[in-house]
Amino acid sequence: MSTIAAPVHGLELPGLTGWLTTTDHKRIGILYITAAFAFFLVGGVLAEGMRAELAAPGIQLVGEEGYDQLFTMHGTIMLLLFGTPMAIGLANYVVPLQIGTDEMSFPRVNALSFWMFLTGSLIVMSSFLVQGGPAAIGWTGYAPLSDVTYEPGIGVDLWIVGLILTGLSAVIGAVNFIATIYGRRTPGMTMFRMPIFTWNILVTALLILFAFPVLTAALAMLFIDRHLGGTFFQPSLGGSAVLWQHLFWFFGHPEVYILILPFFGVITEIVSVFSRKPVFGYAAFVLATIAIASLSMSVWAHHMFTTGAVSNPFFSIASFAIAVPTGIKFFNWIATMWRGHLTFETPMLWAVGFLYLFLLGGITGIIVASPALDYHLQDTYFVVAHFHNTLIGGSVFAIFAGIYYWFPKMTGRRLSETLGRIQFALWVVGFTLTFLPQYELGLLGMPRRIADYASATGWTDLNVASTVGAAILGLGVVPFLVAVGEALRRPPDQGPDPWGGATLEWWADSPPPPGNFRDLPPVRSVRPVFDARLEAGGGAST
Amino acid sequence: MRSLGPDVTLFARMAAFGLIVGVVYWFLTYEVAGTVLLSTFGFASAIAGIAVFVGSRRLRQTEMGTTSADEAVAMTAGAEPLPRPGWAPLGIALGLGGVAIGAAFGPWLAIAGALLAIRSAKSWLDAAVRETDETRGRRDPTGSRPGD
Repeated sequence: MSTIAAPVHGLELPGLTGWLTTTDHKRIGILYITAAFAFFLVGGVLAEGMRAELAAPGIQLVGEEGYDQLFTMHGTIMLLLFGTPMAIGLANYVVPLQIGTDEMSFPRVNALSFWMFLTGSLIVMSSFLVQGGPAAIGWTGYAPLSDVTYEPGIGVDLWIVGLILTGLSAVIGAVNFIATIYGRRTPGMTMFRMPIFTWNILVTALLILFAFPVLTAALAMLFIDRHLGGTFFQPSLGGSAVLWQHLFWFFGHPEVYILILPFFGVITEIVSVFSRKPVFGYAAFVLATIAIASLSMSVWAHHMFTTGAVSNPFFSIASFAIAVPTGIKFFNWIATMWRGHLTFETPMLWAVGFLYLFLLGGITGIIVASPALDYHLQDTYFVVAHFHNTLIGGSVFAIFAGIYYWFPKMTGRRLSETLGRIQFALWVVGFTLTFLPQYELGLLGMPRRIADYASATGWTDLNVASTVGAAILGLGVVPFLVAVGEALRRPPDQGPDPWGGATLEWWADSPPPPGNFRDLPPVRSVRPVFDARLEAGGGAST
Repeated sequence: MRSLGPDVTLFARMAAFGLIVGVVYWFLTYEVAGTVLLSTFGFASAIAGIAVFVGSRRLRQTEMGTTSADEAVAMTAGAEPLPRPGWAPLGIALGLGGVAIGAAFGPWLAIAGALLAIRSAKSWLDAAVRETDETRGRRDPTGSRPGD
């Protein structure tokens, strides 16, 4: 056991001022998670609006322009204001604890990163308040639709500048994570003793570093096109609309992995802890993560098969190849559970739900990676169902798994098991009912991004089922909010390690004090807390 | 590759991937945008790998008795002064927000935002200098470094 040489910690100020001025990674993590979850609720309300509009043929609620605004803001919010910052928030809280340090490498930069994210996000959201409303160009912002000729409203400008700010925030946050993981690991914590979640955050930070500047540059070019006489994306003036697609998807597809790799890490931690076994194939997990990240940089144009302007075989083969390291991860998760002493507390339930639903998303991803099939399915509801299978069935299920798993660490309180199980049941049923019919709708030819359809198409019943499913999903958030409210009213009662975890965050008090650790166990393996328990002769079952 | 350490090999693998795939992509497609993006990804990874390699070698040289750069990093992490809470990060973010919406609404917002960001950046710098001075007063000067 080594006692920490106490570092000099800045005093946290009390009350709201404390939260506004904090440089503590734990508080900043909670700020990220709370803000991201608030945006998730807004994005969810927009989704319910879309599903309500599509429940029956005809225009009922929002009209065609309003519908375009809804799906634009829904996509933007869920991907860039919820998914990415939620990963950054969890990482902010957990990574320094997992590597046994007291703080991020650059605490003030960490705070700046959060406030830039929040400012940029609020600018994007403020477009609801301006004349003409928010952008109606899809989250992909395809040129020339996003040009001032077709979208003159100021909502698009706010969308552009807000996303530039959030992108810059993500980049400086990524630099901070890389510096922290490379430079602040506790003695004994070599790279190949780091928890898988920390490894995945490192690789995700690298992806952010390579992908987000491309988006920022593309958005700046779009702004120049709109207001400063640029012609980057205007074919009639010598520009190229396909160039926007190249730039956007060179960011956009790695972004999909930025949204899933951290949560692969969450699932790996949870599966290991609730199987009472070490992770099966640690090195394979790490190498698979690096392989997925690298391959993700070379598949962007599978979103552009139907443009006829890209090499379909190249991008098809690269896209198929990603299934291999992803398959390795699935094999390792199953092998980790195999013959383990499995228990199914709420985090593990969400993890198992993730395995089942993300697998469907992966398999349908292989289907649309085939150009021949993609020509039929491009821009249909099949694609909508596919990416929701990966991003809800994958990322959001893993987010809830992670919140239920680390909530005791963050607050010293456990979330209600009963409410967690009710929420899980509602989400599995709601998700399945919402998105399975959408695969069928896509195969029947229903295009995405339409506010209306004719009753003669025969799509009504499937749309009704999907809308009912979405309502169940919305209802499923209520038990979670109640569980959080109920838990926060209770006094903290959890010890450092309520789940029998093996990584260093479970050595710290719950919640951890300033400086995080009073002492640290020696780190001689990837499971230092397990080793310490074993040495002490208590509680280690495998 | 193994002797380089996992931190460097991570970047080396990504660099090799980006550069090789960039070349293959060019000869398959002769498409400029994708080739530039892929090879830039490769070069950027290579630069990062070289920076980490040089940094870790320097660290290894300063850490007598450690067997690898990876372990040397782990040995040096720990007790360092941390910055106090402050308004500067929030002020800079709000200032940049003003600059951003100024681009949409007009220059006055941008000017006000820029002034706020500059003022906050100065307060950040002042705090960092003050904390560094305080640390030097407490510690051996050779062991100190700014909080940020």
